[in-house]
Amino acid sequence: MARWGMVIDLDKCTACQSCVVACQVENNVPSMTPEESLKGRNISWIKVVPFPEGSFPEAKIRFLPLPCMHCDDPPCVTVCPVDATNINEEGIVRQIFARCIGCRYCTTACPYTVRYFNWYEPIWPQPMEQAHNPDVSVRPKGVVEKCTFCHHRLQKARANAIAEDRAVVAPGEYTPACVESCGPKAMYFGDLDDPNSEVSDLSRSPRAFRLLEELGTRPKVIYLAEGERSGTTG
Amino acid sequence: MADTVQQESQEENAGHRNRLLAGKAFVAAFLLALIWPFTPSIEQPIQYNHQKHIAAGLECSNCHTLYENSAWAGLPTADACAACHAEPVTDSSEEAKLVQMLSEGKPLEWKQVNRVPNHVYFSHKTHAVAGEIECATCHGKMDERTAPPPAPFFEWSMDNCINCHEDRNASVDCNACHR
Amino acid sequence: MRLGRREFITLAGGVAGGAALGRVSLRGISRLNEALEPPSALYPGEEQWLRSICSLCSGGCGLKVRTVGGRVIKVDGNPIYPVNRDGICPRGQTLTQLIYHPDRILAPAHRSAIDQPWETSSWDQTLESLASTLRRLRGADQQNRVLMVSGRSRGLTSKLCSHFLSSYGSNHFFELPSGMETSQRALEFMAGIPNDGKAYRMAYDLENSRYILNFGCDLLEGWGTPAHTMRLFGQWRDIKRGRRTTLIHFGPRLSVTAARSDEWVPVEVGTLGAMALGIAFVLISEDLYNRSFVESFSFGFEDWTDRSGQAHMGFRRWVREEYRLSRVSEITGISSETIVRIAREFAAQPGSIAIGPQQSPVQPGRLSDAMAIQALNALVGSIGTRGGVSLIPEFGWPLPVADGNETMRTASLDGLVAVLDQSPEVLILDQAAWFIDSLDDAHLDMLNRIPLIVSTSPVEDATSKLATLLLPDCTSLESWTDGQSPSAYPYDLIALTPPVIPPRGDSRPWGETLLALARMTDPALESVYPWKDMESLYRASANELSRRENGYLFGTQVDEQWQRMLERSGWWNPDWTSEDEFWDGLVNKGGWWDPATWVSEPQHSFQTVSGKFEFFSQRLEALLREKGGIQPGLQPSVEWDRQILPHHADILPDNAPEGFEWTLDPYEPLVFFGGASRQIPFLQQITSPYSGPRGWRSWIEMSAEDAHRMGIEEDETVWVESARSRIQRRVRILEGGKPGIVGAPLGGAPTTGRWARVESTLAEILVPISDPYLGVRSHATTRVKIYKA
Repeated sequence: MARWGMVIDLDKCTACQSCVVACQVENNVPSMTPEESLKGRNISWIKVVPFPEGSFPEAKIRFLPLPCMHCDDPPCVTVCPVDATNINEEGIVRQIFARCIGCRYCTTACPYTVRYFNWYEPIWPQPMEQAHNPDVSVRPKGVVEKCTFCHHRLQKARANAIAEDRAVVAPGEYTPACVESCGPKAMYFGDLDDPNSEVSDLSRSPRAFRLLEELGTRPKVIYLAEGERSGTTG
Repeated sequence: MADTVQQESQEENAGHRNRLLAGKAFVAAFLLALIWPFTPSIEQPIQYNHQKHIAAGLECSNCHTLYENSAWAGLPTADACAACHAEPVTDSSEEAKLVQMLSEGKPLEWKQVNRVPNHVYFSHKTHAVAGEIECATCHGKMDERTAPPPAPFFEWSMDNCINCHEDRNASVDCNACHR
Repeated sequence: MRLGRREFITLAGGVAGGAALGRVSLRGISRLNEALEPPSALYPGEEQWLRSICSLCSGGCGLKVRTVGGRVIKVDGNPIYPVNRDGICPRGQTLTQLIYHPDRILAPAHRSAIDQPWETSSWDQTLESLASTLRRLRGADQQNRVLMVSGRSRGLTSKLCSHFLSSYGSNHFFELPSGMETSQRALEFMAGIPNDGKAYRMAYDLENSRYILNFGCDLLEGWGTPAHTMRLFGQWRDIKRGRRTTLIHFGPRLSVTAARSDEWVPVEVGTLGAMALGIAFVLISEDLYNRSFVESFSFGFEDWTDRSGQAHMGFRRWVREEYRLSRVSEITGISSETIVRIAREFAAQPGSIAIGPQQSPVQPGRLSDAMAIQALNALVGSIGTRGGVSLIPEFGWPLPVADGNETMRTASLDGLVAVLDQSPEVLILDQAAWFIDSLDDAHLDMLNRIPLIVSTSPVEDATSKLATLLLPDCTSLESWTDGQSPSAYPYDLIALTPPVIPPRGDSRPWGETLLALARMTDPALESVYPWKDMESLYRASANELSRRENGYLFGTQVDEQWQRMLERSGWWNPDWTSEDEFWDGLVNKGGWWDPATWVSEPQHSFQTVSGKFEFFSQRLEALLREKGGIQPGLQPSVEWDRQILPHHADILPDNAPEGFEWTLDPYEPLVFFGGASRQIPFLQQITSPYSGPRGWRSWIEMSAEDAHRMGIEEDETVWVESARSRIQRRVRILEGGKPGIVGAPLGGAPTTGRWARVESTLAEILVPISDPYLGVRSHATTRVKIYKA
């Protein structure tokens, strides 16, 4: 059984936000009207968060692409009263939109603030809904949604694997939309339990860290800290 | 056909969004829904005779071209019918209707009978090919049908899905089916 | 009563048991779902994966497009397209929102004036009304009253535009600058190009660069081809490729590139040239420069005497006397230690390169700065080398007509504005929103006096707002689309893809509209362009290309390695043997390229007067002599040599008027560069990674230090006032930004369509500064004062 995880190399990230748009297009996330957008009510399952450090002239701004961490010990799951969010055997923390009652306990419990509540009916000005991805349901008003690691892609990949009589989904057969779109190839995805996978290799890098590890959430999104500038004597 | 499908789903979405029900009426409807999931009878553009076609040697995949390879089974396009019925081959009045439609270049707008909610991922490929489940298990004996089914043979409820999954030791993980 | 899930739970409390239940049985909840959700998953249609090419900027990335039931669902990078291999920028991702935009223009239309309603009409009628005007002007020998402004820059349709206009008889075709013009001019003056009538372009082998001095280029915000530059950035920092490439950014504004570089050197505004010369000073005084190159293959490094016996100052003495560290430090505001350290690192290894200056349509940059930067490349011997810079022959789709490849290009915005003053009658705006963005109100008034403005925009934008005739183009996914080597790309490449979906509505590919317009305007023009559609034109063009004896059809990266290996051993194994095979291969694989274009060998022969790399450009000197010296008043200089040698000159007067304590630096953000995309909601939501997603409005970026001092809060509205005018903007506070510098993006809220918002254009307050050599604007950095609104 795979344990799906993502590695994001902050050294390579260009903060272009291609992942943000790729996710919205793939997952039928509606774009808000300008008015609601200005209120900060955009939904984006992955967002790029700036972390400014220091002041001029020693300033540094780090950018952190922030999807759901798919924690191994997810605080959102324990508070859900109706089992609308759960973690499956493969480690994906899922939101069953149809079960969600919109109590928003999970959005409060999530220390990474990556859960979004649908304050509005999703609206696509005609004919933008033509581009809807038929593999992903459109969430109604009043439910919480979040990154699913593009779980629908796993469903398809698994269907293919089963049909071809393979027990497991092959490496690279299942990739979330954000990872696929990444120009500098700063994002990696795969099976953390497979010792030969790129992600498990990178997760053991000395640069690897997890967000808010002290909370004991055990995230499966692993960041690689920015690299050291090359020496000059090479 | 794509446009019609799209339009239908929009209308449904709009209807769904705007649904306003009084509390009592709702409870009544709900209780009713528990025992009798009401489905209106579905009218197809042509009274297609499965029995005749299957007897004539057609395979399911001749018309439902996708079922072995994708989540969807697929419905035949006018072109598929035109392969044999460009000219009438019988004296059936339904065939005459079809030939007329073909000659006018009208698309064949089949209505989908079996539907799952849009938050469910159902794959024909997984069920029919990998799970080796007979078509008849969910669709009934199509080789005996002389007219299109007016309603689904299988009641598409989560209970029924789960019963079958449990019987066959298939996954009952939410993520396996919900999307 | 409106029923939601919460109300439902309250009502159906017996079933769900409220929040007290830890885990609920699957069955209990399933009933709720079924009662609430109608069955609705309908067969969406057949899924297909097709190839296309992005047209949202001139980079033209290869695309992999997913369609379901004939609808475009998702766009990603094409893994075998060499420029972007898989990756794609956020703009490319939004093609679906452009194709299905609610404000798409789906039929040709006309109106009597811009305040009158549109009337749709047939293509024949609309084209005839334009063709009759073109005929009348031609009859009166006034062809030059027809102008075309295009944003395509590259590809066969771009060539067709330019050629159509010149065979019609007008020479007023203007194209979006590539952003490389000034540095290319500098390199042409110093390294020269063959006088063979062919076009050349500047290319960098950045994939193999090891140490990059970036003089202000916003590499990660639209420079070159965004997805290509992003891919390079990933490679520079890919530990598996070995040594990490160091990127040093010089520039006053804390751009995303500055923030993501290994080091940001916040030089003062307009001092990039001085900085380069300061580094040159260290290279020369510490003897760190590449002696073998400079001594054998350069001219003007040491003092020299010309034929008439006149003594001239050499670059070495010039730099040592004029650009001592203390002076450079004073000009740039950067400590001598930093300059020395960077210069030493720069010289320490092969694969060092200096690029810049930053260029955008409103700020093409200064020739003298660009020459100072290229001088650094000569000092470390990086001309033509692996990881270096060079001028290579322009390569692209040949237009298969006589003189088809002689394109006319007038890149300068000033040149274009000058023509606007000569009472033009017809202005065709083709992907030209960038042009409107660069204009202030006075210029827009000039546009409003033009009797016939034609817009080709597929969606309502700044050009359709001004137009009285619409000839709507479709997106690249709806037509045959080509690609070619983007600017700065070191390889020859052409690409072609068939339409993914048919054009929406009654829109038409602009190339085909032009062919039809030619037929309708004049039988003579019709004979020049005998093709009935773009596909047959591409076919004819591809036939010419098939006669090449180099290059390969697109393949995987493994193919690429193999091909390079073959080339190194002098082999070439063609993928085609006939025109038909080439065409089929092109359409199947999506393109052709030559991975061996860049030879990675130091350049030793130069097409200059001396045959060497010229620190003292004799071509520039000849040009200036012809002109009678530098424009008077702009550059007071006493000594002749000072004007020719790379040098620094202040762009802003020293003494700012009272209160004008900020310098506003206009720039193009990734989402808006090249002028398009204002109408795309997903892009409006990601306008800047520096702050929350508050799009749909123009903003300025202010350092936290300045904002706190002024008591200005994030998102507050302020007045930005220059000597010319004042405009309102929202403030985004930039932690760590350089005090006194205000970043101002070009682009902003949509100017038309359903989300239109009235905003003053940035051009309204900009005070352009001219380049003394080129006679056109080089900068638009402007002194401003800022106060609360």
